[in-house]
Amino acid sequence: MRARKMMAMNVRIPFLLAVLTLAAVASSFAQDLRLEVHGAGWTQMGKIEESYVGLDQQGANDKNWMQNSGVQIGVTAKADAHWDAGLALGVVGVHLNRGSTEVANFWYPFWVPYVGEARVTYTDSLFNAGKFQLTMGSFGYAYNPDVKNLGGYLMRGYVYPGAIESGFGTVFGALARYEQGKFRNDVILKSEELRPAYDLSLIDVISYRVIPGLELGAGVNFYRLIPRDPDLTTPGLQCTGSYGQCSYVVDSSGNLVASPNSSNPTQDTITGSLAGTKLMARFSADPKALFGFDRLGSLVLGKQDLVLYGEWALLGLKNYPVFYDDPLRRMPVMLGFNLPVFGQLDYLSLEVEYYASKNSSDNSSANFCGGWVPRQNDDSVYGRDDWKWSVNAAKSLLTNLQFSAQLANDHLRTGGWHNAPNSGSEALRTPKDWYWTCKLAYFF
Amino acid sequence: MRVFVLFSAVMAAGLGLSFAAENDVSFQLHGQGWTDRGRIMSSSDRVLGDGITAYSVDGSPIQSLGGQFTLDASLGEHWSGAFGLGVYQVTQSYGSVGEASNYTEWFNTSMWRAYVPQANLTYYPGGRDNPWLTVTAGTFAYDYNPDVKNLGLYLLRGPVYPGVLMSGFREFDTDTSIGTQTGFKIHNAVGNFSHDLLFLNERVLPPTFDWSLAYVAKYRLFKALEVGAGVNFYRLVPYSTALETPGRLGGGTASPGSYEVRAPGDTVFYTHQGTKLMGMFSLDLKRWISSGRMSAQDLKLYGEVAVIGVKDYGSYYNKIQERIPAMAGFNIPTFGILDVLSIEGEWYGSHYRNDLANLGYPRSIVAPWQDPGFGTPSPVPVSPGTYADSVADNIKWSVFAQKTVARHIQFTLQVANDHYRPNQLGTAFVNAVGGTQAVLTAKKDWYMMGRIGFSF
Repeated sequence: MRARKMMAMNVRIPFLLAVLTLAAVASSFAQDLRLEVHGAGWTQMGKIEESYVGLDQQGANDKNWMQNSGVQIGVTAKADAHWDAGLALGVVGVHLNRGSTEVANFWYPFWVPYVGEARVTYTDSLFNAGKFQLTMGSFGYAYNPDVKNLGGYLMRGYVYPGAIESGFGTVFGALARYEQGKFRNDVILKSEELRPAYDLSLIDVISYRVIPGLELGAGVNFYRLIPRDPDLTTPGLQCTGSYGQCSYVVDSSGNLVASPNSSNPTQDTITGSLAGTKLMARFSADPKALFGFDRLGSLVLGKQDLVLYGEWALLGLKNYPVFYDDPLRRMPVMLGFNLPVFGQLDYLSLEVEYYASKNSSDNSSANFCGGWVPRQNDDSVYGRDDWKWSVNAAKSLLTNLQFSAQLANDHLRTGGWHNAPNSGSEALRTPKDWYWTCKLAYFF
Repeated sequence: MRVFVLFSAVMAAGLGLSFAAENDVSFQLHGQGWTDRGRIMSSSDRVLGDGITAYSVDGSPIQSLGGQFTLDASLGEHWSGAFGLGVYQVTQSYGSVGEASNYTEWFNTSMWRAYVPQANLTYYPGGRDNPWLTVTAGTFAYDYNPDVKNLGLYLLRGPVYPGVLMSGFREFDTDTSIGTQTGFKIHNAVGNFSHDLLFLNERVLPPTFDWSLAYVAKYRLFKALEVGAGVNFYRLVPYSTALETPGRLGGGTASPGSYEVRAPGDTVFYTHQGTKLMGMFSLDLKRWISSGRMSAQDLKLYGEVAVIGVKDYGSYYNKIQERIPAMAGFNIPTFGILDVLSIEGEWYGSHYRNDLANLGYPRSIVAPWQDPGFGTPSPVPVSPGTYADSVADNIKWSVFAQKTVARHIQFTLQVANDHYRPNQLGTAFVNAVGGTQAVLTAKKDWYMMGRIGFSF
């Protein structure tokens, strides 16, 4: 569960009480609408075994423990044949990243409440053929249900700079969905919460089940298409903040000029924008359904076994000299495979990602000044973070209990140390870096 | 707080006995969730409470979401209880400080805040089936004028000295649908007459924890007209007598301006204590105009007037006519197209700023990292600044529309020039300024807010 950068609030006892009470009264609604109560509780623990934060801090996260626990309770309410709504509230415990021993005295835990969902949905048939849904508010959205960790490029992170983000977020905005047979189209208007906040992005995601066992998908994200303040999204020569860069100068050969000369006509000043266009394509293939078998030898395969899936994206259609001059370096691609576990686990997946960007993966220049130019890469061996991997496993016990684990070298961002701005850095930037975490969850 | 704890203990003991005797407990779950988005279309004010720092929230966006669950519990024949939990998103204001937006934009912080929408017990001496008298203790919602959508509700919102009015779009400290009152309430209804006695703890505005005694009576006649009146002995029982009249504090802790030397031996000490009076009416015109197509709220005319402090004293509070706000509202008939479309107008002749800066209460997102400059809460008003014309903000207005579909899903829109008080503006990673004052100070100022929500 992604740590939420919010205020400390210790409300464990009231929320646990609420969970118990809600469960107890689930059948006592004197309402004219149908309510379903659902909830989850979890405890997660892990450790960063090896890390590289940067030249100044090196392996400051090495051997750092991570842990959190939380609960979430929610209600889905069906008002009539067309309207339904969802509300979920939760609390998660968060530990600040401890970092090096020099700042260990800043390490403290706190509790953060959050709203997991607050939406209303209208459903109707369209021309008596397909199903149309309009969802408004704040809601979770994942277009690639196979993904356990890597991928999800279309909805996460900036375009320029193209630093990849992990984690699952919610959409604040609206989703119009049309489904007919094997085809589904989602049009999303999303209010961006990364700074500068409240720009509106327009996203379209289509999925098509070609044959049983093979699904293809594609999407486009017109990121920050409608800026709240065009001067922030497209800042011109100077950033309004002081933590990044919004323009630079190149010579006639397209090389960066370290000391610009304003009277030199062969030099060109490059300005740009946080706005851009992302493209995405994905596939999911289940050989069990494709070739019509359900076991290997005498062993019965699980539902997710042998599923092969992948995703490709282009982060920004437009080229800019020096930093974004090669589209191939703006194309992350991931591949995942669910190993056969024959029902012993829910799944055991291996995901691998390749992203050849030579820019810094630190997105704090965009977050703190609207700088679309990437931060200076302090790693001279910029290719050593091109490959990422993740191993995920989950096992359900009884009906409502799940144990899951993850070992990965991914885009983990541990957040800043206390009151530290540099929270955009990835913690795992060399091939030997990795961490593990496991989670015990109860849900109903 | 001791009184409250003692009373709670007694109630808990009594409740325990009741449970043992009756053992008849049932629950009903309620909830609501919402998402908001809006924009301050025009805000002319450019000066913070310090009168020096230039700032603006002109054109600033507003966005939030939240939700709450509450449980109403029937605890036998004579008792009921309610408790709830809520979470909402709160964000520092966007805008500019010192003519620049780099701080407010890039240091802007958004976070989740938990709250308790209900936590109370109610006792029915005559039984729940005959609720002629109820006694409620705890944190509860109380709305003596349910016609009001935005402006008004003067009796229980805001301080007396200074006479700051409070309103806005579902502001958490003014929203009457959640438990903004903490204390005790005795309600009695006989026929067309009802009245409430309230003993309320001040838990929002400094100096906190004072107790106020309020009384509201209402009478309905001709099935169409309701009239009401009330009195609020604000901060009648102070938590700290010294804080109540800060000008008497010795040494360096006295707030500047909290006392006024008029002549040798004649010193006026300003106090947070004061008395509010209120009168109200609600006239449902459609009772006399037969039309089956009208919504329940259509054609209602309502209003409220108050005296914010009956006592004239000192040079700040020597004109009672400047302490009398009045509002009127009318629900325009929409014939079922909307639940309600109301327009409200208000007049308040105070020539001071609508600013809580001298009291404190900066509505901080996080605790200030540095001393924000607020000292001992002072009962004197904030003088008009360069942009706060003493009469330009006398007239306020609000247009409110709501449409419910499927009985539980609401779409709400409000356009207003009211007493909206935006959150602080970020000036560093932790530090922030503002948050105490209403920012719509000129006739041309206004903002709009939309909400999609549901409740059950």
